[in-house]
Amino acid sequence: MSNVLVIGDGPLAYEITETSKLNGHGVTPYFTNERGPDFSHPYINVEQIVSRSTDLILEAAKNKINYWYTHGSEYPKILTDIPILTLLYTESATHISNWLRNAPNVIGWAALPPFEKAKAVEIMPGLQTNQATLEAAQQFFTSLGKEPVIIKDCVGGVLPRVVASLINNAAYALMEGVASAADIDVAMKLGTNYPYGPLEWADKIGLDQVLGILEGLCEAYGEDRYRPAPNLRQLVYAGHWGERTGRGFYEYP
Amino acid sequence: MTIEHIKKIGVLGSGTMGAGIAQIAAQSGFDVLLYDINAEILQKAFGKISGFINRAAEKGKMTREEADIAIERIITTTHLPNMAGCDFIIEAVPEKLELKQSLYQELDTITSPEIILATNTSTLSVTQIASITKNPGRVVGMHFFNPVPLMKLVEVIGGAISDEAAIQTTVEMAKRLGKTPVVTKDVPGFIVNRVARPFYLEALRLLEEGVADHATIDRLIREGGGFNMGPFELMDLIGLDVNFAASVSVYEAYFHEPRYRPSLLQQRMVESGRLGRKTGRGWYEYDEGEDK
Ligand SMILES: NC(=O)c1ccc[n+]([C@@H]2O[C@H](COP(=O)([O-])OP(=O)(O)OC[C@H]3O[C@@H](n4cnc5c(N)ncnc54)[C@H](O)[C@@H]3O)[C@@H](O)[C@H]2O)c1
Repeated sequence: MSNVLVIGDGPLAYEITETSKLNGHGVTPYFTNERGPDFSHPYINVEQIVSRSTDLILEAAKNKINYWYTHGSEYPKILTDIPILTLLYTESATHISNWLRNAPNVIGWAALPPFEKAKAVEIMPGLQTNQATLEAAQQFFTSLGKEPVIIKDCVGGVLPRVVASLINNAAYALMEGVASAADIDVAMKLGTNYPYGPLEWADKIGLDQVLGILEGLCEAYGEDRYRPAPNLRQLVYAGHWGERTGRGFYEYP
Repeated sequence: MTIEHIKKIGVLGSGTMGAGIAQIAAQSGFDVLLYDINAEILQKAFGKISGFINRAAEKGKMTREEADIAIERIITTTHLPNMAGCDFIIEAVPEKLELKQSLYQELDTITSPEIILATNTSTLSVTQIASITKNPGRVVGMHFFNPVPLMKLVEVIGGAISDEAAIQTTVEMAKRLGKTPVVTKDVPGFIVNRVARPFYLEALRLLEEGVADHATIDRLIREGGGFNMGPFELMDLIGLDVNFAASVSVYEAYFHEPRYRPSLLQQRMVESGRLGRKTGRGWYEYDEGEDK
């Protein structure tokens, strides 16, 4: 049982808050963009929301720069002892730690909504991560009933990278008029046994989050293969971020 | 021709796919004329189909009488002109353009022009197959999945010059055969074989980069994402050679689109002869006794 500060800007952050509470943790949530684009507080000073009793910071944010970059130079003074678990959708753990003056208490993690159904969670120590932080991350996810699996630090991890690439590919097919969104999803569920169609899954993950993963991969690898489909980008601009905004690839009345 | 008028379905090719299609057509109440150039294969296919139907009856999935009627509905032939009596034709001969094209040209002279010719091609262009026939509007794609009796999906492909009515009738036909149709344009890989590429290709990239080993990647995809099988397990099941060939074909067909770039590591695996379950070893090892 520990006091967890959950910060983030997507469905995974809301879900992990609930899971943490259910498993007996004291949770302080701090969300932005809960119902879509929110321009009111672009930069968050985590120093002001963290408290003396905070044992662990679980960050599940796409716009990490809003949390860690601008105030980064100040953080290590107060936050060096608190493990910071950062969601590796857009940057690597090594990169985030670098923003925090190569702090050793930063470690990456990755998962996708629906988090409730996940049995395993990816954990990625950065080049600077120390043993205590790794152990804290393992303990935390174990306490949620998830098996922590250690992999190499990278943008997008395993599952988010594979699924975001499927979604991107499906979005291109949709844009090119190959088939309707519903037919693409049905085809992938019946033809290959996927748990969700790629486009309905995107609506659960959040289109903003999916775009973040693809942009992160583009940045990290500099390869055309990850360039986001223009229709995905258009939906994100319009605030159609999926289930939580009432509209994404589908509408949710 | 509208769906109500279709009583008899012609199936060309009695291999893996043709036999499955003939079976479900007979079970769905259609008369079936199953054609192959090879009489021996044709007889074997008939034996296999009646075996499946009989077993379904034994398991109580249909009555003995229904099974007998279904089997009686299937007639085999090695004489193509007999197709003249069919109201809808599904073609599942080997994946060779010239072969399919010459067959469709023969059908031009045998069948009346309102009969739909549906090709089960996986990788060829429906438009190209149709292009050399006298009535290209009646040629559509009807892509079943293997094994046909179990897989619910059918991709109905409208070629660039297919008639809208032919596409609609084929959609109805797929439903009559107990399938769930989706309509797609005539693009390489259609929906499934195109959209699924990154499932394998990104997993291979992650392995090449040393992010995790193949078993860990499979596990994270299954236990983290809820997939039934991980990409490496699935490659072993499909056959690494078959899966690699599909990636190469989609990559070539999209003029080297980087999203579809095949994996060098997979090519080496194919060259090594470790092709998956069928050779006893692929990404994983399989014991002799294990179910392949
Ligand atoms: N096997 C699959 O998983 C699968 C899935 C979807 C689509 N397909 C497509 O279905 C088609 C058939 O594939 P398959 O796996 O059933 O092949 P197959 O080799 O099992 O069967 C082909 C049959 O066609 C016969 N044949 C050869 N030449 C012929 C001719 N001129 N006229 C009539 N019959 C002839 C052969 O004797 C054989 O019985 C191909 O276009 C393939 O791409 C296959």
